[in-house]
Amino acid sequence: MNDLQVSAVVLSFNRREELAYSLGRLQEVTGVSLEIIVVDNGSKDGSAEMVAAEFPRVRLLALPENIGVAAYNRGFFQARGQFILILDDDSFPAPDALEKMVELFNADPDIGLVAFDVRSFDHYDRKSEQKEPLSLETAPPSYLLGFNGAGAGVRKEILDQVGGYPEEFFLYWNEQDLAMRILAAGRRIAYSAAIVAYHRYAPKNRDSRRGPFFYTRNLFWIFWKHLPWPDLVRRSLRLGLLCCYHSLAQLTTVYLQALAAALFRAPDIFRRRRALKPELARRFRIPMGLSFILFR
Amino acid sequence: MASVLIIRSVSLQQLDNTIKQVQSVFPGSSIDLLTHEHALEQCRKYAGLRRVIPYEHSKDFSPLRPAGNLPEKHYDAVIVPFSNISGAGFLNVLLFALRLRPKRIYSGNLAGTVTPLSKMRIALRLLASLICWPLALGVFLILAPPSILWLSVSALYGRLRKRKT
Repeated sequence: MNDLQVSAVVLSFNRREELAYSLGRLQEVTGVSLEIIVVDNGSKDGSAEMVAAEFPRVRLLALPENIGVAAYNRGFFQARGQFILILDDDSFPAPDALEKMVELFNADPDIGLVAFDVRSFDHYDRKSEQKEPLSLETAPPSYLLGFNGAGAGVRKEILDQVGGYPEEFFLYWNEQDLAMRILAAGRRIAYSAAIVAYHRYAPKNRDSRRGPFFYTRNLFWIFWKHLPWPDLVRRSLRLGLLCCYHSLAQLTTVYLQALAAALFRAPDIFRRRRALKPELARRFRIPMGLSFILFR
Repeated sequence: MASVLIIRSVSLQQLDNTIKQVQSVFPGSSIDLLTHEHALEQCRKYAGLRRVIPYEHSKDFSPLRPAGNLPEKHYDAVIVPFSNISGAGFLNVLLFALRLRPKRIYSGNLAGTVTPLSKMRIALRLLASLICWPLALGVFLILAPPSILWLSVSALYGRLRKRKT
């Protein structure tokens, strides 16, 4: 019998101050036995050194370079808890969140993943003052088709069964890919407003090509990996047309580059294809527009 | 008391900032929030909102899919938050807002700042869009045949590789 209940896997990349703050907050968690694993994605700002010096009880996996979300899988593999808590380096759970998460998992073996209510970090104090604490009775679970990777709990056995994040994605849409595999395995994704995580939301009005590129390329791959053929054809054509339109409307080549990058690795992606059953695929609301609102 | 409608066109984390800004720009107003059904539960957590209203459609906000369940016939202000500077990609939401025939339409940027947006500017965006679509269709028709051929070959290759393994 494994006594360790939760392994928190935190991905870190060049956010030393935020990481230190989040790890400090993680120490305030109550009601569960917890190990913390930090996977550092080759940070250049001394994040890994800070963890080693200031948090000696945290297990540190320092990778030599940034390998994107694949780094999470290194942490998942090392985790010894029954449940894995997925966090960013700038997110942390509310002190009682993990206890409630474990309670929810134990109440229903069909739940494969618990999606946290991820709230803006900046409102942490204000919200905690304003709101009465919710419980699983006052905020019973509802069921979702996706989750936010800045705060989610997943059964270790499910990850062993369906695999971790898609390493080929590097960044973005990786949560949806994992969610689709969990649902295809017959498990559910539960959400309760009582289970809260906080995420530092630091909006900057700046140009960015990274977001639109990875969002667009990976969305094609989501379609090709998971959708039944009629859906795949229809949605791929529509997304291709939208790439052409938004390239012209926003005067950028980033969407066409993403399309080309998606096509370039198409043989590899189709090799990984495991199509969802049509009745499950129909339930997904995939917001295609998301790719086209990130270019500043 | 001014009536304000926020259309949830952005993430919940950005909405945290937007609601705070709207409350300071329209003090004492009654604020409603229109959101897709899947985010209803999360949005109900916000303090200071009069009502959280589910959008009756699962697809994107569109002037062709109006909301029939709004408590106000014409709002004093409708807020459309953008997740970028320019508002690129939000034309559908702006046209949806226009169809609600509010007195004023406002945009909210990434940091939550709320600024008025004239109906003329929305009309100009629509015009630019109408010019881009035929051009985009032309580009698409050039790119589509080789892409489809490549995808078909890739899919066949993927199937063969899976059989082998």
